[in-house]
Amino acid sequence: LTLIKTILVVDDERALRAVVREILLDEGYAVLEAADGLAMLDVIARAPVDLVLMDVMMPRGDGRDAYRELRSRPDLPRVPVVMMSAAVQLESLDPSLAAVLRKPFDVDHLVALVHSLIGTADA
Amino acid sequence: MTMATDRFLAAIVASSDDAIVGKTLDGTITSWNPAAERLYGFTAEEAIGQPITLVIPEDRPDELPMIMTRMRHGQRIDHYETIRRHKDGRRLEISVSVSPVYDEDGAIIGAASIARDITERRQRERERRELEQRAYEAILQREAALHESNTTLEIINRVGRLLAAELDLERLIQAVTDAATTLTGAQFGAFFYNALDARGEFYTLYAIAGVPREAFSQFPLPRNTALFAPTFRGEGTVRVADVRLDPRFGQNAPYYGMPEGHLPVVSYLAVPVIGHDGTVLGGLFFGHAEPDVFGERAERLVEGLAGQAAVAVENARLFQQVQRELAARTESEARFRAVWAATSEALALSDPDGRVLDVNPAYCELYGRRAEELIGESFALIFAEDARPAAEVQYREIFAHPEAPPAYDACVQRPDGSERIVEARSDFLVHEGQRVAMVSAIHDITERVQMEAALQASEARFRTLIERSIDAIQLVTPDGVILYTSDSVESVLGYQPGEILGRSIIDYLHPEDLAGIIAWVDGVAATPGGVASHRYRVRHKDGSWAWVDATLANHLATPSIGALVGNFRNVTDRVREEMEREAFVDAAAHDLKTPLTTVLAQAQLLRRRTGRPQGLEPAALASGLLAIEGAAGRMAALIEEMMDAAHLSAGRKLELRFALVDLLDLVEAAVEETQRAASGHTIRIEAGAAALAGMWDTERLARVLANLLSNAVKYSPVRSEVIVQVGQVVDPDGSAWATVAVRDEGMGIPAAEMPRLFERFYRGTNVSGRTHGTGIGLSGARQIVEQHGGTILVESEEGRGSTFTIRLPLTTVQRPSSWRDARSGPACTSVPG
Repeated sequence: LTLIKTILVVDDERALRAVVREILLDEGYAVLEAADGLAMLDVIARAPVDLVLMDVMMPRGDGRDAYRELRSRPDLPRVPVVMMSAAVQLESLDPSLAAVLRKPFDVDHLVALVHSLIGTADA
Repeated sequence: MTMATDRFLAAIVASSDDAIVGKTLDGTITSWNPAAERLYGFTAEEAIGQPITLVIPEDRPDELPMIMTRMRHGQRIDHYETIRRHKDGRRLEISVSVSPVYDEDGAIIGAASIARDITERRQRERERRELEQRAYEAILQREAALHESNTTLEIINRVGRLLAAELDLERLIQAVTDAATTLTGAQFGAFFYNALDARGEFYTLYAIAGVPREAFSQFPLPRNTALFAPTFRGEGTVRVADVRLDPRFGQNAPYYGMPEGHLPVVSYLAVPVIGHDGTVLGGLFFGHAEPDVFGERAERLVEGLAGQAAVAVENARLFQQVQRELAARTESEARFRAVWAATSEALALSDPDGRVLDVNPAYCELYGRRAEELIGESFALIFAEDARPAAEVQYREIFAHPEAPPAYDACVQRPDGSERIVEARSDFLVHEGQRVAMVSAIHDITERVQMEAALQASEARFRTLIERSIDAIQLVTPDGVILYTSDSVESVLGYQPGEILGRSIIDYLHPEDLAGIIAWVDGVAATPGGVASHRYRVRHKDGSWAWVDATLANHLATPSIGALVGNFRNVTDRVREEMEREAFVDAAAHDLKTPLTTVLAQAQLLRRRTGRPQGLEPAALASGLLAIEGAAGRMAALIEEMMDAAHLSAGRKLELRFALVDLLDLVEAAVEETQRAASGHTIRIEAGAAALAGMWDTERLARVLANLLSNAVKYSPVRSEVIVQVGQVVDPDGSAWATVAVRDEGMGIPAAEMPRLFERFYRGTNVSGRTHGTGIGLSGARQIVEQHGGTILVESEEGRGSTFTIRLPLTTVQRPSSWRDARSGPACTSVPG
């Protein structure tokens, strides 16, 4: 059972987290949620996570700051992070990110991206 | 000459009855005949070798030099009657003739005189003249006694009357001269009237009687010679029986006597005309070709006449002086009048009280009034009515104080209301040390003043254009060295021109912009007449970077410039505003995309699920549609809020939708919404009442509250507390207010930024650029509150936190008539907990 891959969705918009969770649940993944970057770091410290889907701009715990923190802490696992953003300019984002997903996104594209990064939920 | 002749002549001399004496030119006696021995009492032995002064009385020292002078000039003296001295001291009256003696070469070596004793003859003559005189006096007395008018008296009377009446000096002198000449029996007479020149020698005015004036006119006027001097000096009458024998006669160069062609004068009579104060007015001179013509009678007549003439001459002189003065005065008056009338300078004469005594035509023209209007009135008539009292006070000041300024400017008014600016100068007529009248000369300087003002205005405008414009102007070399900078560089960039002259512009440029600027300057410098604009950052004096819009023009070939001319203005605020707008649009896009992402994702999710073999459960469909509705609703609200923000940022009023609302409800909803997105913060409500109802715009107030709450969360650390206090206050004037205070424990606001806090697009400098939002901002919040008739205040301490307090009126004035329809009843929500 522990083989089921877990994806952490980080966004300050609850409605968006909800729809992304439904999409990923349909694909067989386990889904965890966090409302901001700080909460994301807490979750990763306590639970095994295979992929992080994280918004860039959040009122507290900005996605970029949280990503930098995640990568700089040796106690935290090197989980791949996909940054989601509705912002116009995404060029300045860290190139070490697993991927950048532009909002609004195509659900098929999201699913394909997740598959390509961590494989299907039970593989 | 032979010896025989010598002896013959010697015999004649020895046997002559006349005394014959020879002498050298220095007066040493060389021969002395027996008759001379008899006449003078000296023997030949006693006399020869002695000076001739041996026989000349000591009281006649001038005679010998006079005789010898004439001898040396080869002139004879014939029958000259004089006095000599006998050896025994007796005075001898003699008649003498003197001749020059020549040597063989014709040179004058001495003189020979032949003298005859005429003592007895002169004695007889004197006796005869005395007889005559007595006879004349007897006749005169008889005539006077008989009151018969003889010729003399007739003349004297006539002259007397004339003298009393005649004031014309020339006619007077002529009349006196004519009368005196007739009375004395002179062949001619002259009246020389003293008109002394600076050297005191010339007598220019004269009258002639007995001969035509031409007979005199070719000779010089008489001079102060020995003969004339006693007369002109007023010493007394000179009467000479035979002037040729007078020792005073003929001693002066160039004529030594009468000039050739002169009227023959033998008898001479001269009487000074002396004024009442002793001044010699002139002299009456008479002459006759025969000797001894003028007797005592003539002398006294002329003296009497001279006395009367003196009075008359003085009268005439006085009269003439008066006439001259009058003429001069009339002339100067006429000249003055002409100037007064003709000058373009306005002139006025006024008395100590300011009453106008006279004005000239230019004055009338200047003030647009007739002289009759002005004369006799106060001078202040020329001023506007309300300025007259002050002008009169000032006038008296000037009149009373010698130190008052002699020139001053004034603004005067013509009857038609037009105003002129005049410059007045004053002078005073002073009588016995008192100022009795003011003379004012007035210049119209209106045009000059206006031109000066216009010139100054245009100069000032130009200077203002350059110096006060928001543009700074610089002249720079193609290498970027600043050659000139206008003063306005201070307002644009904070520098004094002196600080940056001679420096390179590169010293002030933002390194990131440098390449672009160099390309820009090089491009303009390479193009004669080229102009190009560029926007870049320049270091402000205060250390900040200022954005400038600059236009550079190539005037390297313009003679008076020879440089690149740069105009630049500080557009930092505009650039910041543009950036803010851009950020706003970015943020709006971002904020809208977030719910849009939900909408699209939900829709796709529903579609994917309908495609699955097991299909879509109705509950899942309903849930998905609800999420779509919710997200779409948030988008609509966001758009509404953005519209409000756009309106407010443009300074436009919102159309408030008033409804009865409980402020506590609104605060709870806003806190709940904010708290959901800010789990790290604790937001607590402290309410002093169960409900606080008023007529407000629910949505707009919700936005204000959301703004204040999100700011409090945004600018304060995680796990800190945000306290919202809701209450009400009543002012001393009875007005009631609902209050909401949002207090955070955040970073606070620097004091310097407090005044700008509520400005549009303003964001604090100690806030990172990462926060975003399309909200109405503090500026919009304040506008909404103020549109409700309320206020918003901030108290803050840097590092300690801020408190934003809004006050809303509880007795709302604007109560829509349909407010009952807007809501079925007052909301009374109890506070949880």
